Amino acid sequence: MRRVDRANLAVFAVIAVFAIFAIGVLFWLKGRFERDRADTIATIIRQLSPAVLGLPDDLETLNFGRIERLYDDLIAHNAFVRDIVVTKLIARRGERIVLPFDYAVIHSDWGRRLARRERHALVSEGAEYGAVYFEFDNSRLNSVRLAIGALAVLLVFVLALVGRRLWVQEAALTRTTVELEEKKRELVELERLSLAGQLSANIFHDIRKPLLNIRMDVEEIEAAQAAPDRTRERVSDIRRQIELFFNILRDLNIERFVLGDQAGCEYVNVNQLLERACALVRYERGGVEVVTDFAPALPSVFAFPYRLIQVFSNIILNAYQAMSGRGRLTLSTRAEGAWLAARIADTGPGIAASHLERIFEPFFSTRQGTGGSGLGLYICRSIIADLGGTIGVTSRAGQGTVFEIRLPATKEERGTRNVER
Amino acid sequence: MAVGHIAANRLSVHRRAGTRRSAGGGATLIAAVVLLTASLSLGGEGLAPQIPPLGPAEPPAPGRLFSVGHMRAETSGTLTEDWFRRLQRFLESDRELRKALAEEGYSGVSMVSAEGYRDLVARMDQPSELDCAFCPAVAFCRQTGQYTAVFQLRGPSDRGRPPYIFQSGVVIVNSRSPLFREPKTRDQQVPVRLIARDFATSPVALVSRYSAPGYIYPCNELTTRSGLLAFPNRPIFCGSSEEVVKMVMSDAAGMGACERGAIEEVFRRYDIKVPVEEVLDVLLTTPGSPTDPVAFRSRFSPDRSELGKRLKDALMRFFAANRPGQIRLEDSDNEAFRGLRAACDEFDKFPVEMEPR
Repeated sequence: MRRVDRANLAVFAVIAVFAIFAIGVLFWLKGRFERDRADTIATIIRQLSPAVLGLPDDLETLNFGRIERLYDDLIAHNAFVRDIVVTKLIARRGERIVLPFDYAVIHSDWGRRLARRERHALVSEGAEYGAVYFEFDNSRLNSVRLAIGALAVLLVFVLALVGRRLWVQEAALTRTTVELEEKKRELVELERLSLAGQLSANIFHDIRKPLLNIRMDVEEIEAAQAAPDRTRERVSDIRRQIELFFNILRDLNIERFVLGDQAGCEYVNVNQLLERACALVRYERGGVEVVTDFAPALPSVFAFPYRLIQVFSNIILNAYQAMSGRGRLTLSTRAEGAWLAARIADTGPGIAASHLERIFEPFFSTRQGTGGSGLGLYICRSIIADLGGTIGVTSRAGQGTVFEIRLPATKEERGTRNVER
Repeated sequence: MAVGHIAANRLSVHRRAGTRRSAGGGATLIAAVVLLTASLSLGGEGLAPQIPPLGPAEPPAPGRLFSVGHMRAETSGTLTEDWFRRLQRFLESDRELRKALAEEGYSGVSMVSAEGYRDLVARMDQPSELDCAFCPAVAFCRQTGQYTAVFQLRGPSDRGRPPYIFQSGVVIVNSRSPLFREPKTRDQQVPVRLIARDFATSPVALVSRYSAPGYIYPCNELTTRSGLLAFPNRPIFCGSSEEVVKMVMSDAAGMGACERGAIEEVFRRYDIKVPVEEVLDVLLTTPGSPTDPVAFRSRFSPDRSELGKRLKDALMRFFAANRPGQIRLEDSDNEAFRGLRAACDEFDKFPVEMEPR
């Protein structure tokens, strides 16, 4: 995640925390206002007691002057009730407005007006003796409600922004991952083609000799028309050279190598694959002594054979190049329970400890500018990982390097794979 | 404008009903209890004066306080307790008055707040209890002490000229009453029998039992003119004419009797834009009754006493400077109350189980 994104998210988080805190405070304030309002209502109702208004049968207790003074006291000093209308229940006459006494006179639509107000009955000992119609001053409460609403909207907005940003980043990450996978596949393909190119050069180098021999033989046949025995010998030699040429092609089986992933998985014998890989890159062998120590009853591995050949040949090629035509290459295999281990050890100069932990990283190469792409071992590790195995390396300066490849052994059963782990 | 109507509280003692015979004895008993309690509880410097036991009049003892009585103002009265306290301070600070008081053996002025109409009348009846009284007109007519009406209070809707300032009373109904806009006779009044029937049977808002326009005159008029005994069966005593108007306008009571001026006063004070005639209908206008007097003990009548003269001057100056609402002081005399006294006597003759004393 980019730094600017982290900064934005931090700002959003701060805003969200502030909004949540502020909403909490406002809810507390709203609750307090509502309690105060309820207290005000209770106080007003308590003040308008039967001693002030009188019970329905008692009209002489009713004193308009006293109620008006009470109204002034009650309404002037509170912030929640804007106005009240008080009615008194009168026996045989019903409910009559006594505060303001002229309310029904002034307002011809007094019934509709009262219906819009909140009615609280005045009750004494279970009997109603009047009512108060409240017109509330909700400005404070509405301010708090508005603030809560605004902060909630802000919070939702911030969360939406964060969510959208995360969604965009997730989509970009997914796209990048897909692209990386694609690039990785392309790199594997490129490496294989690179190896194939080197292989082709070697092939050309190898078949050049028999072809030269053939050409020379043909020229000698042309020059010794008169010597049939010698001609027969030369033709026989040409045949051998041609056999050698086909053997080279057969050993290489380069078509399948180039096809790579298009060839299907199959049960393979690692010993054979090591031999074929070794033969594939023998053009770099020089005077290197190749020693094999293969386990005789090695279990099969269910894998793409030519991808394993790609791995083995890459490591063997590196070993040849490290030893520069001298030394010993040891190829060994052994079964270890559910696993199969293949070791490729050389007697080269070894790998520096500082390089050792980076050799599987992409584009890491100690031969930059001399043909090394730095992708070979990275691709080897990817291939082995795809097969469910591991690849490791140990090396000591001046004593050589050992690569160990561990693969899950499988048991062949009616053409299906059964991986033993 | 009636002080008693404005200031009268509605304590139960006001509403207590009793027979006419027993009421006289009850009043004496109450007066005795009040006087006994006061004499036991009040010291020399209390608000109320030392009250001597009931008996013949005695000359004022040295160091006595000049007592000014009034009804306790609990409701939205214009003459408030605070106003009377300021009056007391004013009178005590008036040098001429203080000198005159001293010459009569008074060391100061005290304000006596009567618990109600009965209490005030009882105190006025005592020979040495009150020297001056702001009293309801009916109380002035009912008391038996020797008092002279020196002033009358005039409100904005009161009529007449000194020495007779009066107010009209009305019987009103609201727009929900079946009598509202009832076809009227040539003198623009609803047939009296209809009014009397409703007055006697439906809940009627009245000022008090001691209000001339708010009780006595309507009862007298309706009974006399209709031939029916028109005394409310379900009276609601509201304490003031304004309360009566509010009671009727709110339809807590369908009918009411009060001072005419209270209607305009309520509409003016509450800025009610609706025309009065759309809300209230005046069914009956009762004869004018004198407004509340300020009465001096007769021996302090300004034309006979230097103290009375100084007190009159001081009251006029105080009213000029501290006018309670729109009330003014007007000169008056006892003649102004002759009609009301006759009306009270007539009222007393009706065979009802209630009477104003």
